[in-house]
Amino acid sequence: MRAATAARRAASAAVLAVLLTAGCGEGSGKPSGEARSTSSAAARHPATRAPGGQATSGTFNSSDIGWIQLMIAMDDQAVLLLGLVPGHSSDAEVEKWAKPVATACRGELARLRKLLARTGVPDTNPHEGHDMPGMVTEDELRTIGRAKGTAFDALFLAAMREHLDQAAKIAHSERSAGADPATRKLAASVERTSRTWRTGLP
Amino acid sequence: MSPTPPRFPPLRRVLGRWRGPGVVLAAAGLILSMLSTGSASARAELRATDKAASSPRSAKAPVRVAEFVAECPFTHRLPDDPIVFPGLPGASHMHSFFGNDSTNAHTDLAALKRGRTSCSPTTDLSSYWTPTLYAGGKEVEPTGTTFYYLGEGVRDDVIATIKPLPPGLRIVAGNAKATGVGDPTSIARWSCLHHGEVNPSKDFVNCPSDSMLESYLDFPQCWNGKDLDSPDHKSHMAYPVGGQCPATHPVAVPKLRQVLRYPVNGDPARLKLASGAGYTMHGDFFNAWPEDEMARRVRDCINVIVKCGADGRP
Repeated sequence: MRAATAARRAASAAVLAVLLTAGCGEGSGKPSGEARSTSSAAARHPATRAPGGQATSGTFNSSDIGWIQLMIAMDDQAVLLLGLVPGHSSDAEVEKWAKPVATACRGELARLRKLLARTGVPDTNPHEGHDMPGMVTEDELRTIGRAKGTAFDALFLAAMREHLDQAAKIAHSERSAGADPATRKLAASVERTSRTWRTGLP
Repeated sequence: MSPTPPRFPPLRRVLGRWRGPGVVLAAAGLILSMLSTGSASARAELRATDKAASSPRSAKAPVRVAEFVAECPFTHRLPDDPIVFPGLPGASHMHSFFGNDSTNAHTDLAALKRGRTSCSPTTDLSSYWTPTLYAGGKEVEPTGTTFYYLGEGVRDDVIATIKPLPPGLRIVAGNAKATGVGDPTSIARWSCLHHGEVNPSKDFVNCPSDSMLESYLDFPQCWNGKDLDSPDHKSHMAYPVGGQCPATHPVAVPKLRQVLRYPVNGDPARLKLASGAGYTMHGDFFNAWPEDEMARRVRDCINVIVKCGADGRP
């Protein structure tokens, strides 16, 4: 399952690579090769001292960077979950709801990765395998992937509800905690669309 | 206070410098202290990891260990991380916090200064946190929570130049993204209290029923001298190479060693961290020691290689 997931991720990354400018990483499927001390990306964008000592990179503060990385991790998983709908769901309403959400989610990911590229922080998923609130975990993906029909629909909708609630909540905080104008603008958009989709959930 | 903390870190140091003619009484005292407080696991650790020091050539040197400590019991749990997700409450996996009882997503140095602490000494207003440990889905909080500040890791002449940790410095140790026990980026170390016969591992170990699960974690001790944090929260700090700090991170600071003891043992299959498997163990530190208290300890305990207690006195 993990291999299949990785393959799907690689495929979606390939699609994204076409959509985005060069330099966009593959995202969450990448194994960790993190160095213990310096990273070349961070060296390109040396930290500057914010008043409180919080790290900044250009116009981005730590809240911006943390939010972008978290949303990429969450959306990556949500896209995988949404991809299960055709072939698993037995509810036309669910399929009708999921299709535009999946498209919008991929668009959101593309915008997030563009912002991440601007931060200079590498596109590795620092949250992979973690039990992040609201995030669709690998275990959940496995379980939901084995379900069919109404059982699938119930699990799918519950997971999407959690994802959207958390996305809206964190985006709301980012609007005030963040520093980079484009990131805060995207956060406002994520909060709005997450609430809209949540309301329209079948 | 929790039970006597493990003495293996200082012991390793002591035995390492046990050379030449010196004070027999001090050595005898050391042996006594080994017998009374040194655990089986501490002695096994010595055998396993410090071969050069396993047989002291002569019991005649003064006891010298660059160390001071803070004992900081568990305070609270929150899905917050003021380093990785500042201003974003609820964004993180679950963390267990030690020391400053006010730590949350909005924590900064000024907030820590206004907070209260569980630490002994009470002058330490720093915040320490780790991913929460679960046994069978239920939270387990450590009952032994010792934070050592050490000179070891660099040469003696470098220890003499160690500078105080600057106020507001954030340090993250360990790799939450580690992929397995063979992953060199994992510096997690799990062992069993008083049961050195159980080999330490980067992943959880199966401890006997009269034992506790221990976690050791060493923080990087070389600072770039400029930044209190970095965009990846790691680049401003580095580990020493060959007993000294690299040119990119020239300022040697005390090494923080976090030692946690969890009241849990037996089959590790039911254990899980909020960040995943045992090898994903990591620790976060937000320094809020008063500058003068930190400076005094570095001067009186670290630079001169003298073992101090929580009061920062020999």
